Amino acid sequence: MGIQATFQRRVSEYLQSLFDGDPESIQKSPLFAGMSRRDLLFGGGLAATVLGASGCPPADMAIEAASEDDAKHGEKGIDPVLRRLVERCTYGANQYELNLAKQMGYDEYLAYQLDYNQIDDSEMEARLSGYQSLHYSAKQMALAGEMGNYDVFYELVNSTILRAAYSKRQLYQRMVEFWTDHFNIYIEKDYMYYLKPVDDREVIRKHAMGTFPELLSASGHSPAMLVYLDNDPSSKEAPNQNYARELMELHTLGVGNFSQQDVEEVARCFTGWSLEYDWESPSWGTFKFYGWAHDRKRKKVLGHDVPRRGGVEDGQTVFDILSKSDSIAPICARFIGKKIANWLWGYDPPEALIDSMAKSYLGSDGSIKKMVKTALSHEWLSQAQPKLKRPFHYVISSMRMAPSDIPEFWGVRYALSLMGHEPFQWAPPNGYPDALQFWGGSLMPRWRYGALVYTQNYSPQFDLSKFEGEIEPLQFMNRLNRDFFGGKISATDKALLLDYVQENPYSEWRRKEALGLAISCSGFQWY
Amino acid sequence: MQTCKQTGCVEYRNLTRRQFMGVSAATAAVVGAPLWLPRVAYAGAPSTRDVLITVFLRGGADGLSLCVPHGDDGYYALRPNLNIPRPDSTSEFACLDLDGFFGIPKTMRGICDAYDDGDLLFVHATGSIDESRSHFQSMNVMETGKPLDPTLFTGWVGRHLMTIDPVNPNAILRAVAINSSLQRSLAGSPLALPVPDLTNFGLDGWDETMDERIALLGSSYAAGSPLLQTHAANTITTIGMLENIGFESYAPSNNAEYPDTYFGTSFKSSAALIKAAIGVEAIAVDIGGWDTHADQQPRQGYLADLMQELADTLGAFHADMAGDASKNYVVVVMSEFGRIAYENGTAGTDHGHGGALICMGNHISGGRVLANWPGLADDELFQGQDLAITIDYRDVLAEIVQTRLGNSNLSTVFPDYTPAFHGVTEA
Repeated sequence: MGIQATFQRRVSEYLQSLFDGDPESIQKSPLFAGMSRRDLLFGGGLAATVLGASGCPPADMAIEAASEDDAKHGEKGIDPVLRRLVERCTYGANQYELNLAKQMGYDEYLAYQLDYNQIDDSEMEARLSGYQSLHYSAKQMALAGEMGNYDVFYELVNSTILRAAYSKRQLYQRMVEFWTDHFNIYIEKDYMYYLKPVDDREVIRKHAMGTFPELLSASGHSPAMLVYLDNDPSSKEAPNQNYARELMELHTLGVGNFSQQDVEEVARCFTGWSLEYDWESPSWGTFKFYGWAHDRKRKKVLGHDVPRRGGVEDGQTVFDILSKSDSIAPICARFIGKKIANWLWGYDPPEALIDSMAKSYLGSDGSIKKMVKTALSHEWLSQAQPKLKRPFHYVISSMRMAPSDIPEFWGVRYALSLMGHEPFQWAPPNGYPDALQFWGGSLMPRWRYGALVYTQNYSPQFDLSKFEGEIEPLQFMNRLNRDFFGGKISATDKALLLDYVQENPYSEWRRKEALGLAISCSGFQWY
Repeated sequence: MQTCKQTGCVEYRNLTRRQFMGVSAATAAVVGAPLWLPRVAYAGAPSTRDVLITVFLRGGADGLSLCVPHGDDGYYALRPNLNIPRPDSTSEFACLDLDGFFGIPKTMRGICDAYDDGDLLFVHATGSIDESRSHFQSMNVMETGKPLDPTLFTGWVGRHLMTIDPVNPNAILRAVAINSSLQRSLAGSPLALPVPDLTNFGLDGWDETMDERIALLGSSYAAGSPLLQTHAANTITTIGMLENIGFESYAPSNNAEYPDTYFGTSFKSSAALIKAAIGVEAIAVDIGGWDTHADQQPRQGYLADLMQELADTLGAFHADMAGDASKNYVVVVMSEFGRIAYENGTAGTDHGHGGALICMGNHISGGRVLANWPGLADDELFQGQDLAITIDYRDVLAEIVQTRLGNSNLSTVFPDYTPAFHGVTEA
């Protein structure tokens, strides 16, 4: 603890001198005098081990630091709850979003993000104009793929990255990510390269801010989902239970709210739900119901009768039982509400919030917007704690801070694969976890990304002109704080980074390293 | 009838193990310590405790394919198409007999040497008592070691390491997940870290500023959120330690050849890590793809290939570790559940219950199949469709924890459970 305490004292003394506005003393700061790099390294490590073992509750340092720092810097007067709203709505609270939110105020900014289709996103659309396959049918994708090109796959992944980073419809993109995990589909299975892009467009993006019952039904009709969860060969002679089970366990109710008997009955309801297999048909790969494979006998699902002689409507009956019925929909509403709250509000949402979420669902026929609005309300968000950025969020936020115009993203895909978070690459049906415990232990891949992204010939290549040329270290730091941290960099990170660029103020290389270190720092991992 | 012994992998048998050991000992005597050994010694006093490697077959592996009950007619009745034929069958896919009742598919012949040496044990009709048939709940139950306690986040390996002194008091890394994140079984473990690739764990960029940059990050995290402090500190200390083990130049003993896959390479790196004796006590490795609802192909194709990758890796590791008999290890291979005993209509099998587990180690009482076989007749099946569980998986793990990992705090490692020992480990 000794070295750490000394270090922190020096940092605070140093900051004092900084705010006293004496540039001479800053240049000659004895911040690290008498302390070697190794001391810092092992001192930090030692202290961290001790602190970590104490199991301190998460302190809301970000909000405190924000208000303190805001008073000193450009971001004057932004309400910390409003800032948190921007952080929760976006993949990175950059200058553009923060200014927008300040102009609009809390309620108007939230309404603006919710009414996403009113937001002019023509720049984004122009960027994607070359991505032909985003408009293809499954058959067109397959024809392209038959010719041995992987464009349909890369266009899906690259457009996902591009949209998350640069679309103005940020909250919508965040919900697209949420539903992509909720209705997870692993793209390496069978001919999923041709089916998942259609699911992405017609299910996830079409309904991400619509109603849950419609989204659920669309997902169940999606050939990608039916193939992923093995429903496509399911027939009355051989019903396959995989989709039936995950439909209840993962998509609507959660484990413990249905029986094995329900799984078997639901599986019977979905017999014959498959896709057009005829390669000669232009509708290859679209939903198709095979009546001869359907089990037309009577079924009983979660206490509801599904009458005999049913056809394709049996499946829709199941969706309605799960998402609309008086007896079952409340379970679904709580399950979905809790998960959205975990996504937008924070880890382990309290019962009262889950109650409000369920109420929003049940009072609106499952409106997703209503639930999102509840989770992001000022009342609730003022009680929220920071969340750890998942690797995708982390990488995208680094892109939003230093824009790039080069639509070439192999480097980003590679970085995401090293972090275990490449889009559409999670094999089991539960989707990438939204949990601190899952992602928090793996920091090295983040640091490696930070070490490469602004210094190497990395794709995309960023516009770093603001950080180049004849600018003083302090000026550099202020720009870094403004652009990367929205003005709320922690005192320690700021002191460390300033010292790093001061070591050799004329080195462009060192400044680029400092940018990478900035995103690797502790403070940048949270939102 | 073909047995495991008669068909042991030819490559392994070209040279006897004794010859291998003679060669490597001579080589070592001439050139001194191999290059891959750490340049800095972290090793403390030698320990007799095993290093534990847990392998999780994600997706619910079909125990009836991994270890075939060819002596049970019920198996062939329930699996008319998806079976492995009896050892005396003329089929080219006839299984290799283990003990007159059980056998293994030919694609798993890579484990024959380990089995013949008495180092590999199958446990059958085993698993977790959880009945959910849910991947995620079953995995949680198995990896936490306590059924359905939502308040319990820690895993059984984590609690084992929490309740026993480190093998090496100076160890800076006690548990490694060869994965992009920690498996649930390791949750709560002191000094645990996910290391997706042991051969490459460090910061990129300019070497000249490396130490300075690492120091900066160390200071940033030490002053940052308490939730990431320990992770950051562990990461930083591990960089230097792993750098000192020359994984790249590691040469397995006995010319063991690991499959050139992520799983195979993970075991190869694990062997180097164990031999380097830096105080790592537990390693967790995953291999996915076992959720075979359709087109299972146990004889040839999908599942056959997956089982071969598993067996070849275990076989290579066994041969490799035989080159350093002073390093005690135990590998436990498990899955969240077995699959339904009868095949479904889509040439696959759905989520079931009981399955098979594999233990391998130089103090495992192996060369046999441990089972209290419940049978596969209609009235013998669990819920009318699954292999029943007659040995709780915790019995096997608890015995290993107590006798091979030296930890008798079984009520902490497996709360609310009194395990029965079955002679899994050597007395």
